[in-house]
Amino acid sequence: MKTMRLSKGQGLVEYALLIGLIVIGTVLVLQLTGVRLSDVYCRAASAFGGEGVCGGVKYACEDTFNAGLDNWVKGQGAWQSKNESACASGVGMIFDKCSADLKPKDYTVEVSGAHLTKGNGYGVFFRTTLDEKGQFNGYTFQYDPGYGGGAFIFRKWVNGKELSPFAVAPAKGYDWYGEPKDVTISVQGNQFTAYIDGVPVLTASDSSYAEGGAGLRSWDSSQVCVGNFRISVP
Amino acid sequence: MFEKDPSLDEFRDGLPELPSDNEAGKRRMRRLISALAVLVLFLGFLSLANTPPGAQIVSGKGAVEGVVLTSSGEPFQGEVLILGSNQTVRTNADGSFRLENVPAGEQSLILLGENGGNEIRIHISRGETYQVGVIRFVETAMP
Repeated sequence: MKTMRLSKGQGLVEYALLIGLIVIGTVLVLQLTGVRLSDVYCRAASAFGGEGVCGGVKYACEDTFNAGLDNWVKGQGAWQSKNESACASGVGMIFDKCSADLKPKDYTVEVSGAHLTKGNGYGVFFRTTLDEKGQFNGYTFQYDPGYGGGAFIFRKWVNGKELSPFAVAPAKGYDWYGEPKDVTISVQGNQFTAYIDGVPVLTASDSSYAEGGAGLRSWDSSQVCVGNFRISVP
Repeated sequence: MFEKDPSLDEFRDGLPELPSDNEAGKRRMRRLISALAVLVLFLGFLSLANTPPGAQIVSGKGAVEGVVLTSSGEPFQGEVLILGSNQTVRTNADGSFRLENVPAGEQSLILLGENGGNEIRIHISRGETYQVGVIRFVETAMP
C-alpha cells in the first residue's frame, strides 16, 4: 500500500523545482524587458480600482525660491535669491540639498523659466554627489555658445573639474537669450536625454555615476534667473 | 527490410502492458522541468550579455602606465586617476605615471589639469600592465 502511494503523482521536489524555475524565468524575463516588479503591481492595483497607488508624477524635490536659497548648498560664487527666483551674476554653482540627501538614481529634473539676459549661459547638474571637502562628481547639461560655435553638451565632472564633453549636438547660433526656457533632463539608468521647451536636443549614455542630486551652474559674466526647480521620480 | 519489426515471439504472453498514467505524467513533468531549465539557462546567458559595462564581473588587479604631454609637447603636470577607485597619482616631472592595483576590466583613466580633464577608456587585464604610451592632454574648451 505504501509503495502504491509513493508511485502516485509527482514528488514534492519536482513541484518545487518547477515552481522555482518558473519564478527564476519570470524574474529574468522582467529583467531583460526592463519591467520593474513594482510597476507591474502598481498597474495591477490600478486595474482593481486602487487609485493613487501608482501616485502619478511625484515631485521628490521642489523649490520655487520663495524662501531664498536655504535649501541649496553654495559650491562657488554668485547665486542668490531675487524676486522669487534663483539668480546668478557671473561664475557660480549651487546644489539642491533635497536631492543630495535623497540620492535618487532615476529621475527627471526640470528647471523652468530659466531666463538668460547676458553672458554665455548656465547649466544643470544631475547625478552629482558632494564630499566633505566640497569636491563633487557628476554630470552637467548645458548649451555652450563658445563650444564649436554653439552646441548642446553633456559633461562629466571629476573631483570638481569638468572633463571634455562626452556628448555634443552642434546648434550654432541657437537662440539662447531673451525668452525664458524650460530645461528638462531625463535620467534613466545610463541614458540621459535633455529637452528644451519639451523638444529633445541631446541624448547620451554613460555609466560612471549611478546616483546623486541636482544643481545649477553659471559661468563667465552670465546673468541668469531660474523660476522653478523640481525633481520627479518614477 | 523487416528485421526491425517486432517478432511474434515478443507477444507470446500477450500485449505488453502500457505505461500507467502516473508514469506518463512523471515523464511529462520531467520533460517540462528539463525544458524550463534550458529556458532559464538561456535567459540567464541573455541577461549576462545585457549586463551594462559598468557592472563588471571581472576579478583581479593590474596596472597602467604611460606618459602625458600637453598639446604643445611639454610634460603634463597634473593628476592621473581611475574613475570610481581611490587610485590616484601625480605625473612625474617628465609627464610619466604608473598606477598600481587597478581593478581588472573596463576602466576610465582620468587626466586632471588645472582647469579641466580628459577621459580615456582602457581595459585592464589581471596581473598585466596596460601601456597607454604617449598621450596628449587635450585642453577642453571651457565655457
